[in-house]
Amino acid sequence: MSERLELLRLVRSRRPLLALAALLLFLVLMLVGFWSYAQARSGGAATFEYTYENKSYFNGLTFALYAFFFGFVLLLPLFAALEGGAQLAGDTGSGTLTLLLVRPVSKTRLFFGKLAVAFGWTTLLTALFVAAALLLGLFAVGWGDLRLYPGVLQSAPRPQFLPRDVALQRFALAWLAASLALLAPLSLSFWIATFTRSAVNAVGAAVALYLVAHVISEVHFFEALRPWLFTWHATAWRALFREEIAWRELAHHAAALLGQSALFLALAFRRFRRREEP
Amino acid sequence: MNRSARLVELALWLIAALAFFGARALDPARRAVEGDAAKWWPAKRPERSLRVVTWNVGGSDGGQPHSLRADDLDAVARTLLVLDPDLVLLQEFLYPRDFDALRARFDVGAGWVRAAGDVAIVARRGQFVGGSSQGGLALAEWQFEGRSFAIAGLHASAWSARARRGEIGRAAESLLAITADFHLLGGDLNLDIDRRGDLLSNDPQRDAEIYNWLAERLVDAGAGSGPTAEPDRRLDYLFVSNALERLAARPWKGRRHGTMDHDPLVVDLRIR
Amino acid sequence: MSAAVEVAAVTKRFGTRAALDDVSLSIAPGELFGLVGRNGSGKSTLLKLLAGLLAPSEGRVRLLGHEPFRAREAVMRDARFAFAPPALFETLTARETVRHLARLGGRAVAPREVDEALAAVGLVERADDRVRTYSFGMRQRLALAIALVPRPRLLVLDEPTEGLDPQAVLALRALLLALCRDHGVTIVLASHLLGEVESLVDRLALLQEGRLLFCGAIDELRAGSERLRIVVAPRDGGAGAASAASAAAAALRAAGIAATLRGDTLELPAGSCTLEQARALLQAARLELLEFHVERPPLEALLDRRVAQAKAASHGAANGATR
Repeated sequence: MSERLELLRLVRSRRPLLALAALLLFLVLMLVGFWSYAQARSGGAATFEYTYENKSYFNGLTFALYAFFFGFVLLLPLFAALEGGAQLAGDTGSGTLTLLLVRPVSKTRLFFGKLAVAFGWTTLLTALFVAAALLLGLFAVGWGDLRLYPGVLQSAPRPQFLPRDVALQRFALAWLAASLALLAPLSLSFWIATFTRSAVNAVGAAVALYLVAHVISEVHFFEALRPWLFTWHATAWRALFREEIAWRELAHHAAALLGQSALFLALAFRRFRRREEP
Repeated sequence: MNRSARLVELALWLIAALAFFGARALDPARRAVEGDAAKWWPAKRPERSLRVVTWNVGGSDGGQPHSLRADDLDAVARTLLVLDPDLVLLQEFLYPRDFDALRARFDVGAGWVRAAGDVAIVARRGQFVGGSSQGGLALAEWQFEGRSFAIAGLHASAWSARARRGEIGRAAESLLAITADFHLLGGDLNLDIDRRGDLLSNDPQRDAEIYNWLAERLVDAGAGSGPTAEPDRRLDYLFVSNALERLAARPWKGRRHGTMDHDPLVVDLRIR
Repeated sequence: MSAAVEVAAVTKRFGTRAALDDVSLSIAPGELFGLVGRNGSGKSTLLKLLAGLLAPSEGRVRLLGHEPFRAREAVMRDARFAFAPPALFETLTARETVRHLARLGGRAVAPREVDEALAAVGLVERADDRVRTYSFGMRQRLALAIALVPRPRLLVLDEPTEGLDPQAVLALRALLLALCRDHGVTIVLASHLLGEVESLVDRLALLQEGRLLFCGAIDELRAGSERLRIVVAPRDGGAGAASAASAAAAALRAAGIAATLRGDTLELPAGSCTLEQARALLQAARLELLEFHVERPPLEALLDRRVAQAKAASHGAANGATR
């Protein structure tokens, strides 16, 4: 089965190690950032319980949520894009795609086998990242209830309070929602990868497009374009940390993400199944 | 090309199309604007209710307040005649020229209270029993249906979150210092609490802070009613005492005229 | 029996350039067929058309009864391809590579089959090493092992001996011959090393600048190209060797064969007569064929001649058209 082969190749490649190392480094940097902020605010007498704006609500869960949000916006899409480039363009460039195509396996199976492995890995990576952020938060800061105030995360316009256990359940939901959101940059990278034989070009182009879409969706001059950009819908999972979850709104964003992912995949698959391999 | 591959591709296109339609149907902004609003406007207001309209009637040129043209005033008057509000909070409304012109077109029964800048509080019914202005803030004491109301009309700074935080905070403190059965604070507050911050936002955290401070004292009667201003922002608010029951609140779309860039926000309240 | 490979009037264009131009050939089941041509002759394009990686611009390709670009999966159930240079999964071992690729068709593969294929190419000892540690020759052998599991009905090999040591080349030849003769596997061998092709194949096709210059048996290609050198002696043993040679030259010339005398040896021009014809003429002149040597020009020379002829013909045609 092509999935088993792709999985073995992924495990044997350096990509998982690289991704995990980068995400762990990112978490440590976040921790150092919060610590240094607390030091500056408290005149050098900070412990983690006294960090950030308000000692009453910062804890390991807040840290994990901040880390998850920034990791999701800045890092995880890059690793998703990397998979598209490595799985399709890399195989095309190195000639190993030909090795697969001269076996009795359909292009459909190959394409979706690669996609399944890439998506599975992205989902697992997201889970590992959230788990690592929570554990790091637990050991460095300690857990408590989750209190959120309007601010950087913009998850709610009004202060929110979630008991610890509820907050942990919301983290699990946020992991699933974020994984769905990462399907869009992954699908985009698959589409781009069908145009090039170079993994580096494919990853570079996918990352560049992601960044452009992200910037456009975060600048209100381009308000009319926002609904058409997956980056606008991608961070909607933040609403899961509200006391009352607006499910309909979340469903709207999920549908938009699914639609855009399916569009990219349809374009990618169309090109992949029809193209020649010179 | 085998057939199953074509079917798989077709399935992907179908999923994409269905998801897009689904997303459109589920879009909360679209529902707020096209759905409920279409159902009840311009319906008759509920009986024994208090109807308040807040409207920035000025143009979008971003300059100093300017006098409205005659046809702009005609349009404002036409809208107000249909809505038949008890109380109107106007911004970018230059006194006295605009007021005199409006009075010629619309029966301003109870009179008005004006502020130094471009803000006016106009009442069609009831009776003003006091009024003052502090800079760009208009404060009025109003009797209606035998109850006393303290009203603040405000046009907060569009350019600085720090400035509008101060303006809104001072307005609320002045308002709440007035003894009355009910308090109302409304106008163009120039902050959009529904909107996610973005790279060019002017300090969304400050806006959130003052909004939350205000929301702890008064109820945002227009919450969830959708955007009122270009480009797709909810900048116009009416905060009311908790004792006033919110019956309905919607911006009335399609009533702008000339260079206007705001819709009138219409709120129906029941006096408990 | 229908052909294992059928290429009918196939043209393949990339933009305006025709990489293959109106090529037709047919390969019977169980045949060992050579595909030769210089770099850029269109060999690789033809192999990719056979593998269904490219679609013909015109004409039709059929392998084992299917059109490969449209029904690649069906073709690959019984056909295997090994392209050059071999592209392999660097992080997998040889055993993993062979096993996983063999399973791709959904067929269970016994470990014995994998071991046999690795043994056949001499890779058993390094079978559990990562491919990235392999030399070029080992990669070639692994590519062949991949193509052997499960055993195909049609095997298409591109430059399979490149990078192999002489011992491995001999082993490969023996393996291919055994597959062809003992198991009836049709083998298409593409190479620019003509000696290698000559020693293995029954028929070959010559491609030059996208055109098929020749397709047929090697003997057919050789026809008229062999030079005969003979030493004769008088039947009655009377005259000396030198005078016998002179007499033979005279007899041959009388028959219109311009034999050249070099000491005791007579050289007959290529294509002037066969050994049997020469023997008969000498017998008539009461001379006996004492020693003979058939001088075969290398295949390269024959193919070069074909290419030159084709060029001259197209040049002539172009000149004719200009006039």
